Amino acid sequence: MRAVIAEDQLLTREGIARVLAAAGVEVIAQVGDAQALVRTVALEHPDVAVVDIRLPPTHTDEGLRAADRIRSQFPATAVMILSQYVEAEYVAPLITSGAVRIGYLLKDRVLEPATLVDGLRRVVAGECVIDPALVAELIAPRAASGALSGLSERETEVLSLIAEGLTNAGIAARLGLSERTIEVHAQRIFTKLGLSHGEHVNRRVVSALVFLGLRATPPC
Amino acid sequence: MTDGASRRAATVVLATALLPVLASLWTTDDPGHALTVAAAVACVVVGTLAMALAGSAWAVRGACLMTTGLLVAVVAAGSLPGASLAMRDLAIGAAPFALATAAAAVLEGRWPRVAALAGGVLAGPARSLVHDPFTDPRCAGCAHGVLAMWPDPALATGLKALGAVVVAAALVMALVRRHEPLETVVLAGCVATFATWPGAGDAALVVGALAASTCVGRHALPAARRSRRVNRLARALGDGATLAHMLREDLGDNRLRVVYPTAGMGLIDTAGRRADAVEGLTSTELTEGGRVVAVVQHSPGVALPDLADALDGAARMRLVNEQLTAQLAARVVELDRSRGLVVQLATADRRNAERDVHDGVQQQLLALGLELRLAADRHPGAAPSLEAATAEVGRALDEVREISHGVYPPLLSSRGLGPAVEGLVRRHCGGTEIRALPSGRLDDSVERAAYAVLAEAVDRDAQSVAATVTDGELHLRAEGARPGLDGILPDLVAALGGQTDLSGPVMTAAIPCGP
Repeated sequence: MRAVIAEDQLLTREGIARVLAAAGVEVIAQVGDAQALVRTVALEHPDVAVVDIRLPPTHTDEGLRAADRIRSQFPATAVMILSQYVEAEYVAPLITSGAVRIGYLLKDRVLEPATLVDGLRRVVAGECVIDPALVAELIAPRAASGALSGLSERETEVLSLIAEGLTNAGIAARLGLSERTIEVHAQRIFTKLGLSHGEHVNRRVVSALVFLGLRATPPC
Repeated sequence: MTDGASRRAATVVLATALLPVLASLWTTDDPGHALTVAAAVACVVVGTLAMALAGSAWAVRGACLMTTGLLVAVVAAGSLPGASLAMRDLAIGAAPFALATAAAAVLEGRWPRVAALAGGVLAGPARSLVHDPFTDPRCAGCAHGVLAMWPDPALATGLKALGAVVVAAALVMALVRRHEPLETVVLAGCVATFATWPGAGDAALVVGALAASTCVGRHALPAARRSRRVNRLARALGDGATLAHMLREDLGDNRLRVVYPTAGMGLIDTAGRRADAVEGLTSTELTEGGRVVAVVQHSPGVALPDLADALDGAARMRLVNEQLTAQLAARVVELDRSRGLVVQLATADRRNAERDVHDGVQQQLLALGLELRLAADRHPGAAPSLEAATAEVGRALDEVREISHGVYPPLLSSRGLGPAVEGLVRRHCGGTEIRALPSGRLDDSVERAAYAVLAEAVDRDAQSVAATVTDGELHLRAEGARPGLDGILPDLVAALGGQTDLSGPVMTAAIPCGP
């Protein structure tokens, strides 16, 4: 897997590079701002771009906008957004334009190399990756308000993994169950919640997240 | 004595004297009749003197002018060929007094007026008491005078000269005040010549009086007009009109404005805002006791009346009051600006602090965690404690993230008020309905203050929140929040020029945010 890293903080950038390299990912370039990122992607066509949300000059959401451009101009390159903060509102614009080859992880995942690299592999494979912490933050209020009272504990677990973007196979591997069991659970969940069961795994991520309270606003 | 009362008194006195005098024009030589006429003239003299001492300027002027007219008629009647003896006597006595009343009608100042009338009394009626026209070699065809009680030619001449000199002195006294030395000398010379020149008759004296009056009137009438106008302005000012309003109406200059000097802030207008010089306007200063109290900026061609002398106590106080009010308003404007600046700086500080934490501490914690992770990989024996250390670092990162969020929510900084409020509502799990949110970005301080208000509302379990931008103002509304809010939120919004009502279950706020 060939990756480009866009992160303006030197220490963090180096850290990510080391983690990826140690896991066998080829880091072909490290850049410090959005323009350099887009140029590098255009030139090198990496498999994945690891992008910090905050980049120069304004340090607000340059990373998000660069991600948009890469996804529209170079759809073959997957994008993994890294953020210091767990904010579902950052995710919303990413997934409204189609939850394909896009991921959102907390920067803290750098401390868990396995999670980070696994996430990269999944987005390159075409999935949508949502940080578990984000999903947990979305589930908590719903659980508290009783919107999930119709689901069993196992079903809630499966729902959160669906919201994380895992395929049925991935969920099965995570929970140690068969893929068939997961399929059944998924169908039951969607019926109980009154959601349309999209065939494609990426569509159902969006449904799950929107159900959990994500406001799908147009991409900025 | 007020204007109206003096006018009425003058009218009464002169009316009383008028009828007998007119009647006497058709009577013959009769001592009783002469005494009646003399009494009438005496009333006029006394009344005029009394009003000169006590009355207001215009009552006296009016009285003097009427008296002059009356006396000129008497003199003319006495000079006619068929006039009765009494009339001739009266004419001789009245002529100098006519000069005096004419001078008094146009002079300014109480004492010049009194002096002129006194001089006229001396040279006229008083002299008549001691002057027998028959014994006067210069009087042609004069018979014994009926008014002369104690004839004394030398005294008569002396009184005439003295009276003329006194009148001349009064003219000088009044004219010197107006700083016109040439005309003063000419007029005084005229009067003195007519009074003492042997060949000059009394008729010539009257002509001289009229010439003097015309000369003085040329200055006095416009001065009187100005003074009347100025008095009216000064009265209006004392009654409460503002100087600018009055002057604008009086001069018909719409561009006129009054600005006030302040110590350290330059010129300010009545609302307390800085008033810079405007192209095409000239400035005239109004001073009070040597200090400039106000500056009037007006169109170049317009001439301001000379207000400084005409202002009485109340009007002066009013003017100083206007200046103080303007200065106070300027202070308030300055304080408002300063308060708004403080809030902006505070908001910028918070954003910077959050960014420092993001770029500094969080980065370092990550790097630390990474080192621990790598060390754990390299030294499997120490793995458990190193993993525990890494977990601690993870918890530290979480805490720092929370603190940073409290300092300045990252969504607010990067995406604006709308997404920040959505995140706020979602995190609160209270089921608050979001009715409306602005789509664009606003000024940092405005967004932060609005977020603070809505965060407080959501914290108090508001049922719904709404934020809309209309007419350059951000309107916030939260319904169903728990009442009882205190704290600095109202001040925070007020410092940005907005208003709040955060007391009841419905919380509203309006913050100016530009177009």
